Amino acid sequence: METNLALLLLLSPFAGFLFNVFFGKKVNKGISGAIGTLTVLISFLSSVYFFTQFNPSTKPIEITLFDWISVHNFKLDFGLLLDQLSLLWLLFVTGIGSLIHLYSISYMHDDDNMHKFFAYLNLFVFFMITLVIGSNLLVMFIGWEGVGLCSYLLIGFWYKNHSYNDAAKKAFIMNRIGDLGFLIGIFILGSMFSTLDFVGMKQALTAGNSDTSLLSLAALCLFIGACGKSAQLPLYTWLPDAMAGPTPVSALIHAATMVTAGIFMVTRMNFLFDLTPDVQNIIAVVGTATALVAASIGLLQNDIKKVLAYSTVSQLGLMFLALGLGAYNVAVFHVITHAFFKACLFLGSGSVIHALHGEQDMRKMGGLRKAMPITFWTMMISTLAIAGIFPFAGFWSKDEILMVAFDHNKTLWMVASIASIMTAFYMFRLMYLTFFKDFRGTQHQKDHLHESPSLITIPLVILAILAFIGGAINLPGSTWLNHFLEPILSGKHEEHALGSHEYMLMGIAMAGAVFGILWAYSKYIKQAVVPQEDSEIAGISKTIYNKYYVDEFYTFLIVRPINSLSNFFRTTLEPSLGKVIFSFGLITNKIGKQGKKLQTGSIGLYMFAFVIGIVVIISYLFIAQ
Amino acid sequence: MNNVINEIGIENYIFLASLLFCIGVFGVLYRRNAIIVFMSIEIMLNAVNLLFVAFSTFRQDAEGQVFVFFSMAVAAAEVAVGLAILVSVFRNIGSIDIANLKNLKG
Amino acid sequence: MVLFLFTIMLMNLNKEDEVHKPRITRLGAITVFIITSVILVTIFMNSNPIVGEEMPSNEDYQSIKKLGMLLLNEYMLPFEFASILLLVAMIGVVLLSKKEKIEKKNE
Repeated sequence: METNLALLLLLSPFAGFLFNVFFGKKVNKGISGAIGTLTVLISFLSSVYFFTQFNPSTKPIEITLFDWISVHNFKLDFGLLLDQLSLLWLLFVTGIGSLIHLYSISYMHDDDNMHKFFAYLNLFVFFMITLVIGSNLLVMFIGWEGVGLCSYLLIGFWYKNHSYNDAAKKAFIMNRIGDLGFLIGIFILGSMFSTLDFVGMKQALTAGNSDTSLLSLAALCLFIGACGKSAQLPLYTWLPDAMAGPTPVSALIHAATMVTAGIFMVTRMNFLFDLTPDVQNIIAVVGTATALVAASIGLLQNDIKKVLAYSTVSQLGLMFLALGLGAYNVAVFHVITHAFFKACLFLGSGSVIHALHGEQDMRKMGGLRKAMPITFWTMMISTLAIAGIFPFAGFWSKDEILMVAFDHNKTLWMVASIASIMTAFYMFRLMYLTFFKDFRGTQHQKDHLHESPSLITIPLVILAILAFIGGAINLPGSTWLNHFLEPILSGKHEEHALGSHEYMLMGIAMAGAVFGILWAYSKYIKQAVVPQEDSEIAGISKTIYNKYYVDEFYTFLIVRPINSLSNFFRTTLEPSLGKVIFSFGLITNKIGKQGKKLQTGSIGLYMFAFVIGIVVIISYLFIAQ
Repeated sequence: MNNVINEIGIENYIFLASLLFCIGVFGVLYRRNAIIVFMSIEIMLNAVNLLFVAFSTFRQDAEGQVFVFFSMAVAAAEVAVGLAILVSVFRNIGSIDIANLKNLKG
Repeated sequence: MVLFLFTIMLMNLNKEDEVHKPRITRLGAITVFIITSVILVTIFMNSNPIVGEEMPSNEDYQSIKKLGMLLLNEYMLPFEFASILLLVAMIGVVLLSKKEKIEKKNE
């Protein structure tokens, strides 16, 4: 029964993918979208059912589907593992996924390839579920690769635009670089323990006496994989470019689900990372640095989706900071709340873009508050959440991260707090530029401003409500999430009783956020500043606006040499190799032509050869005696 | 009385037969007229026959001459058929120059 | 030999039609001739000398009677085959030298 339900959970989106691939063009768009949404909804309901069966003390459900690899003493099954961690992830992946599917029915309605879109979305959800409920690292890797593939397909969905294709390729290739690290980590772990099963590895590792340096190397390689997938330094540049895809894609993949796969993997392997404190330090530092750099770039961006993209990178950095300090449950908490409010923000921005018929530059927006009230209010709730204002969800989770940082390392706390203040600033900058003051777009757009249809606003409302009350799952008084995740996290977990120390830290964080909001208010409302045109930006602002020229640096360092190398191969090496190989045939041909000359057809020559042969034979026989 | 062979000595017969054979070979290779080629083949066959008869007399055994019998029969048959073929070739091509028989070239 | 004369009669040969082979072939043929003869002579000279002479016995070894007895007793089978061979050769020659009937009718 459980096996069947788990298989239904896993395969239902895949069935949706197959349906949309084979029949999507023939049915009308509504049915195609409805089937796509329905399949994800079925997965969501199955995960809810499983969730109700679980409490912190339930043993995980392990389902083995079939024996996959069985070589020497290395055994690997294709199996599913449903425990508290994977259930949490399943809930919000399928839940937010189904909401976004619903949203896409209306958002992608004008597109001719809508069925293809839903096929890809369903395939993505299928791979994400595989990633989450895999029982060993290799099944997780299948899902890992699959979501990377779907990300490529969906970013480049409007394939006729070449820059979108380039963005898709960039995303995939950077993911691949991370995947190399992931694979190396898998190889090291597999050779050390002869198994890649999570349960098996946990037992082997907690038994102690493994080679720490090798473990550190494996953990580092796995972290590199997480960097690629979750857009940390230095593999983060694909995420802002990935905004080339349709907004539901950005919401689903690059806010709520795929980028959290790295965090999921690290949390899954917490027993490994707990044994390698050096790698944990690296994770924390990288996370913090990413948070700061991304937040600083986000301060000056003018594309509404790019601001949100950099905000995602920054928040992911904060989550990795928590992971690096060993506070896995705090990171998971922030993942969940972040999924709610970031998805809401992306969907809201999609609603704005849709109403303005594709306009994404904030400098041409403004004053949309009256025309699109539902969008405005839902986005405001989510912005308050991300800025960390009491009592919205983001306040609780971000605050926990800052508290943990303060206890471990004051410098990291300082940097993370600065990043949070910047977050508050640029998020409210976004809100002010988009919704307040007067409209700065064309008259044509102004006449057509209206609130989006209900299929778009319903998911917005649901997500906003979740962003509001989401903090309840782990309030400092009744820490339900911590208890729920106890069996997964073998190590210590942070639990703060509410004392004066904690109140003070909470107060500092709130004050910082309010300071950011007030600064943005004074700049963009009181002084009514509108950001300059691209050509007028100068000085440090220019450097930050151009993303610190990191992309150009990568192009110079990596892309150009590879391009020239492949050019060399194409123009020089391949023709010469071709010549070498063809020459075999040519030589045979020439030898054959020479041999052809023997057949002259003249009898005289034949008899001549005849006689010569006889003479040779006779003399040989004679001499040999 | 002594054997004729013993009088003359068998080596002379051997030399004669080999010389005739070589003349025959030369004629086959050198001549372009097909009839002359056939005649050279005949010379070779006759050289061999001569050798057989010489040895038969030397060894006082009749079996050598029996072989000559059969050799001549085969030679006759071969010449007949060969000349018939040559007549057909002549009717088709118009000359009996073997240099013209190059259809198997290449 | 008579066969030869008949065939030559069937074809009209002129002295002018006789052509010679190219020079290289002439040279090649002469070379082969010399080589072959030299080899044969060398072989025969260097082979073991023929052992002694047999005393002539008064036995009759080459009369027709002796030949006939050999042919029809020990070599009966080749004899028959030779006769069949000659028969087949004759038939073949007649067939090959037949003129095409069409030619005759067109005359």
